[in-house]
Amino acid sequence: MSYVSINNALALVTYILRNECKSMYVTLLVAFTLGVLNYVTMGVVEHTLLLIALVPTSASIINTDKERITQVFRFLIIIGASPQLIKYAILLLSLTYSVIFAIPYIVINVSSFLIALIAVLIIYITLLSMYFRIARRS
Amino acid sequence: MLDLIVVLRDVWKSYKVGQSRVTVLRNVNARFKRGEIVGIHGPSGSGKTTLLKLIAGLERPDRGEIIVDGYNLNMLDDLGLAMIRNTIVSYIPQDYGLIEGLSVKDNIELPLLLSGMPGDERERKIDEILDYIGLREKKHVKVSRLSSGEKQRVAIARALVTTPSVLLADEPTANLDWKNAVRVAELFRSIRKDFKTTVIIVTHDPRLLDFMDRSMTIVSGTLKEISPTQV
Repeated sequence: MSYVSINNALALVTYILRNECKSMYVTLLVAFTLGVLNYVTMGVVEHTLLLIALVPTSASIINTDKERITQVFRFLIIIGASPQLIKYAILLLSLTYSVIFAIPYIVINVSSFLIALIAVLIIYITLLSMYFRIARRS
Repeated sequence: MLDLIVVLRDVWKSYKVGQSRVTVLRNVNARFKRGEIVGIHGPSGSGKTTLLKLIAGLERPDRGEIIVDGYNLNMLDDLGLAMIRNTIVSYIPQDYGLIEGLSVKDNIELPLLLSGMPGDERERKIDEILDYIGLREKKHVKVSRLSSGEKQRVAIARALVTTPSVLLADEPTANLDWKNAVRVAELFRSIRKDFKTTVIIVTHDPRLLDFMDRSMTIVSGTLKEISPTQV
């Protein structure tokens, strides 16, 4: 039995995203709004400004879904999902966010992708630390 | 096949609270046989939940040994403990431990998915277990739309779907009225008989002990066997 497989991690991410995570929709909305804003103003909304707007937003978005994400992590620990599998799932989840972030920016400037990456890194660290906290408490 | 499924030997557990340590379990010794239903009764804060979490491998003891189905939990790493939870021991927390935003089917399916069961077999197993708990018609309903009694039964189905050797239930009737509590208690008795699963229930409600093969009491972290007349 391949206990830690990419398929299982993908399946977990699908389940997590299907759990009506508000943060995903809000993230998508914020990313699109800022991306479109930058596009229509022909780059007047500079990358720095985007960075300032996006990074705290992405961190606080995770906070709005804290209860749901906590519920999912607890469930996974109880049913015996391996710690490695959960970490893969968190990484994949963060990458999913990165794709969502990147779509509006990549059209304008490839370097904008860095902004998305920084936001994703914050999401990744936030999710991972939440998981470790819950695993300790379980 | 071992007749004893869970053995606790000289188990101690404490938690750090501020600057000091609070001992929750003191020198706990217990043996649980395959296919019996045991009730552990005790007041809030007596260490009941901690005891279940130790057996489920969700916590590790400070001292002592816990043997589950021949596995010494002290010898297992986090991955080993996760595999125990996925195959041998199922734990039902007091708040059911379900994902409210997902359907009944999704909640029951995920443990099977992790064990690598093919899709059609998963579907068959889910239908079987839903028939058993009498919730087939709620298969595609979101958990958040169910009553407390229904949520408890879904939690039992989620725990039972991997056919574990040990089923641990933390205050399974705490959020239910007496009529629903009796229904859940009878369901646990059927599970013990039909699946040959060892069921360990912790409760603060002494009335629930009438449904058990034997009962124990836990007071200030010390576990003792009680006879029916003491209940």
